[in-house]
Amino acid sequence: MKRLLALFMAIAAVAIGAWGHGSTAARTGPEAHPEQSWGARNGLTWVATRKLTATSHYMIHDYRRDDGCALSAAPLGNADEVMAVLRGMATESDRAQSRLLIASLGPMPESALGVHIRRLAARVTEGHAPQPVMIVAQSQCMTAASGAPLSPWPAL
Amino acid sequence: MSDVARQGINSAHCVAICDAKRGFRASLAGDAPLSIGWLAGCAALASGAHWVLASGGMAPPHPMIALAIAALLLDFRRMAPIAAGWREFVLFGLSLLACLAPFRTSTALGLACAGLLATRGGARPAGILLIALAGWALKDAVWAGFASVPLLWVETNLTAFLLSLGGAPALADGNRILLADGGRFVMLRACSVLALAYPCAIGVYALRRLLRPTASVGWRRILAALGLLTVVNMARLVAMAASPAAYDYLHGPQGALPLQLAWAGVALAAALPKGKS
Repeated sequence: MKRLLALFMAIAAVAIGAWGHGSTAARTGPEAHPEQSWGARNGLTWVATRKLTATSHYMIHDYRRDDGCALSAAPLGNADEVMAVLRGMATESDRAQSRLLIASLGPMPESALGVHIRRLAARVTEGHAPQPVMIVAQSQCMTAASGAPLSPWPAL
Repeated sequence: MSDVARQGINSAHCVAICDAKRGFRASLAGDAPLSIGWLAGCAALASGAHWVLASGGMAPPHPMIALAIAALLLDFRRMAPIAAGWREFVLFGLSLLACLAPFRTSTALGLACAGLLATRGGARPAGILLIALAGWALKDAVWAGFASVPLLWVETNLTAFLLSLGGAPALADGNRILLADGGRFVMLRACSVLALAYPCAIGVYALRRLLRPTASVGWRRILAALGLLTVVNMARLVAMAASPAAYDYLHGPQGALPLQLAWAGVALAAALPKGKS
């Protein structure tokens, strides 16, 4: 009888946990085309998405603003890996002018530690919560962008 | 401590080594007290189920997970019927509380509690496996990001060095390799040995438990397996960077197969031969 009670308690805990997880996911809701909906919400026109691998886990999204500024964005979940690619997109002379922006948190220096701390905060719920998104653009474009409250990346 | 518990502890070694079925059957007997093994099994079951549900996927199990589950079943089956005390009930309660939380990472706490329970119940290998799985559950959320930065840097530079050594000039820049033909090879965590080492270590340990349950842990074998795996993965990275054809094949749908075969071969080679380690 005690054994059955222990087993029942275990099953009940899992069921309640799964229900809670399901409700969390339902609130945020994965979107079919997060790159386009995120761009539309922030006044950006989606241009292209570059898949770095066949599995679509690593992607960089290109956007264009009405004033002609080009921005590249990556959800923060993979920031440490795609950062080198984002940096490489600027020419050597432009690289010093590029800045990093964590969209939902405001501008920040290009600090690996800072990225990791925010990445950790973003992934505690493992992709079911909105993630900050990393933006790289030329500094003249970032000046305008950094003042605007961009929304976080939709739930994956 | 009750008499039943004392008796269980005294006979634990004999039950586990000499007569596994006796211990298992005794734990199923109607008059037996609630054993630590039963609590550990329930906690592990709940944490495992929570892991799958919280992950949101019903993908085929990783070979490492399958091996670990098989080894855990073997160890749980051999556990002596030691009566649970209040400390064990607290650990069990913590494990269930972790499963109540709607976070995938809380699985780690549940698995760690199950591992501690198994260790307290006399099944240290099962405890090691469960705690190792708890570490794996924290991989994406906690430590992989921190570990990947230095590891990717080392692998990128080593790959570039080997390419240059083989007559294909290459330059490492962060986690990118700039090739002489103008191409770029980007090293991601999924390419790194980081994604392979942990499953390999757990897989070798579990396989060794299955093949030779009475043997020692064999940490040296696990280290040797990790070394072999690093060499295999480095060869794969160099091949992908050096040859577009190799890149297309290894990144294609069939590309995972050679690595899985190599992974299985390394695990088998490390676990099979008899030795002192």
